[in-house]
Amino acid sequence: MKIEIILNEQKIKVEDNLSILDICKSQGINIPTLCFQKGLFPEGRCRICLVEMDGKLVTSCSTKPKKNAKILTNTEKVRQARKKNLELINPTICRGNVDNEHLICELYKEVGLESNRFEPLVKHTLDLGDVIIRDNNKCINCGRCVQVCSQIQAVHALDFSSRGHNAHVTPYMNKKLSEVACIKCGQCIISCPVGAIYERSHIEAVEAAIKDPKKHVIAQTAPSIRVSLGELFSMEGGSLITGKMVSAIKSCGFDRVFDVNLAADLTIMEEGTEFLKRLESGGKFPMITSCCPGWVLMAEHFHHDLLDNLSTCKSPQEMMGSMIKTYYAKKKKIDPKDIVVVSIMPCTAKKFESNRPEMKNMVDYVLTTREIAKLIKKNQIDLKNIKEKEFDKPLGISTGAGAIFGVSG
Amino acid sequence: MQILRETKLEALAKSRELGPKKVLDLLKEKELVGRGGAAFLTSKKWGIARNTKSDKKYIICNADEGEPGTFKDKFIIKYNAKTLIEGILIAAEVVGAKICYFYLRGEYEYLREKLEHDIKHVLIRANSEVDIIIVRGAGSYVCGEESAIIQSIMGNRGQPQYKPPYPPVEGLWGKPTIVNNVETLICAAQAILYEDWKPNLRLFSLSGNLSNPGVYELPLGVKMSSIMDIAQPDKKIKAITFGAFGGIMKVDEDMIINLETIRNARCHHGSFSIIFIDESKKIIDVCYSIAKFYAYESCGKCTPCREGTVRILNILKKIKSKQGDENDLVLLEEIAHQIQDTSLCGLGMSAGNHIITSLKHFRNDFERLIQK
Repeated sequence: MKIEIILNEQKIKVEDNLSILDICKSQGINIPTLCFQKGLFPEGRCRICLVEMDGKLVTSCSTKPKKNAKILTNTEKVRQARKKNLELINPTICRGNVDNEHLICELYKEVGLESNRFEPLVKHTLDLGDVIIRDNNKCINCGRCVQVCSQIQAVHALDFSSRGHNAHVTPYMNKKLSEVACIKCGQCIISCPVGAIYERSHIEAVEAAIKDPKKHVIAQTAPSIRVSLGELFSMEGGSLITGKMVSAIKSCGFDRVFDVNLAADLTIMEEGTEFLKRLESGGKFPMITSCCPGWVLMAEHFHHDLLDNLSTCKSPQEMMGSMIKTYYAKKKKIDPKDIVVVSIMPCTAKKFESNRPEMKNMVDYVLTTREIAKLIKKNQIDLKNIKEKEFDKPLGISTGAGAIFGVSG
Repeated sequence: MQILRETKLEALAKSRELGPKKVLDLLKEKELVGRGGAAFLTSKKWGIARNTKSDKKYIICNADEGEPGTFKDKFIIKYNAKTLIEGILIAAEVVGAKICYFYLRGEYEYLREKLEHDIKHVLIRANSEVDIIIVRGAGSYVCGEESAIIQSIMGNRGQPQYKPPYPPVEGLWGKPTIVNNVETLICAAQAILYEDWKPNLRLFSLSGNLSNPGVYELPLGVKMSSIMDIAQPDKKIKAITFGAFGGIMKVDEDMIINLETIRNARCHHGSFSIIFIDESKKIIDVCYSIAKFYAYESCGKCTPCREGTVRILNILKKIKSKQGDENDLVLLEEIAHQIQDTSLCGLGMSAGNHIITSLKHFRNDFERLIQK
């Protein structure tokens, strides 16, 4: 049903099931938001997206206007209220210790908060996980990670604990994230607007390996990196930059750059063979691919009944690691102990996988897309204008079918 | 006392005889409003839940009673529980609920045995399909808020939820739910049965430095001097506070206590719990203990309440110890208004009241403590 409202003194007709935020977006009005995530229930925690409706301040993300509601989105009252809430939210992060890539930095500009009158109050200890690190000192209790973890991923590893200003995000019973049923998918990292959750970085370890003349350092890049990396260098999202990427990685000092697409080909062959074998000998169906270590962990934690359905194959990055440390090492007559395999992967769960004892250290380090971008920037490489190079042989050749893995997941 | 009149299942019989529609009309005519503080018309609330189509509906009797200085629900449960239970049954039958939850404040656990006995007693005699389940309160002030109480009963963290949808449309497990205060439900039974039932007789919980603290039934519009006569304060009273959330109000003996005078003082009557502050007490000390209460009881969900309450507490601490300056006073007022204007739930919206009202009525007391 359509209703009439007065938005910034203009009469407009809108659907009655839309929130003020949605209406404003369709009218070209930009309202700053913080805890709001598209597609998830608006909890209205942060109180940043305030607007004035009939003289009262309401959160635009969670409020649906009534008939003839008068809405003002940019009054002095609204601006002041947004600013004060942003100031109150957490003085620790206001002091310039947030990377520019995070949502909140844009918010400071939009809301116009320059300095903070308050002192930080609580001191939390870091939750140093093997893959994911949480720094509650930076946390603003927006609940985005909690919502993503429970409502999108259905993992429920994170929730709120304590009351008042001591309220904080934590795994149950104040345990560490590495001690609870977490699948290391890293969605909490992506959703965090202040960088209070971040991956355990392997950049320094990789740099040390590169510097060590005895080590033969090999990078292997996942199919998806070549299309996602450009975004971090202000190229258009989805730009295919295979050659530039390879070239930039080589410039960072890696001895060889191989393509995980080859291992994807292997995975298809291996899993296909296993499928046929199961079909003949009456194995368990449906057979589910085991490429994603996050999903494997999810099955181990929550769906034990499905474990027999999983393919017994390693994931592509581990197949590639094995290939490098056995086949390639033998061909090139290098001691596998001197080879350092660095995977460049889109996901933090791969970090966890490389640490699994079953995998016998075939992959030494895993860098995420964000980390390799940092490394490239650190080496002052101009990715946009670098001369293109090809993957190294022999493990850089592939059918290209593996790129479909990156699309279908 | 009107509240102690027992209905002895006659109210239930009368409501069955009248039918739900006429019961709602009767309650509307009797002007029964919610006694928890929000003063929403009870007949309207029940009507919405009744008209919402659903396979299941619920009634929640809110006996969480966490407001400082309030103890009227305890009084009712102690002395007239059977009439209260009858009120719950009437609500259930009018709305069409089969299960009712009695959310009993954690500290009232000692009343549970007697309550269980009374529930059994009434249910057997009432010949009703309705079941009443006692749930022990989770120990947080905010669990008295209707959407938080629903979360608490469902086993979730007791945090308020954004409204709408309002509970009478979508509440417990997504089903239409009525959340009513103890006093509202018992009044419903009494209002239905007794023709001479008066809506303006309210329960006052009086406490502070008094010779006769306790629960009293007084009409709205009562003179302050008559309340003083009953309560017998030890020293001259300079102010009262309505629980923690209603704000601090300057009083004199000639003052009339009704909704208008309270509103004019920018206070809120809430559940009429009045704490008397005599001349020996400092207003800032009262503010400090209320601020401490809020900083502890804020659930931590929304920014202004979670962070603002603790900032208020810290600034008060600073002013109390004579370390504060003019800027602190400005900041104090600013934060109090910010909490009031932008918080998510009723707790937050009231968490700055004590500061705003005391700065309005007793600004001198603060300025005296400030470094010039």
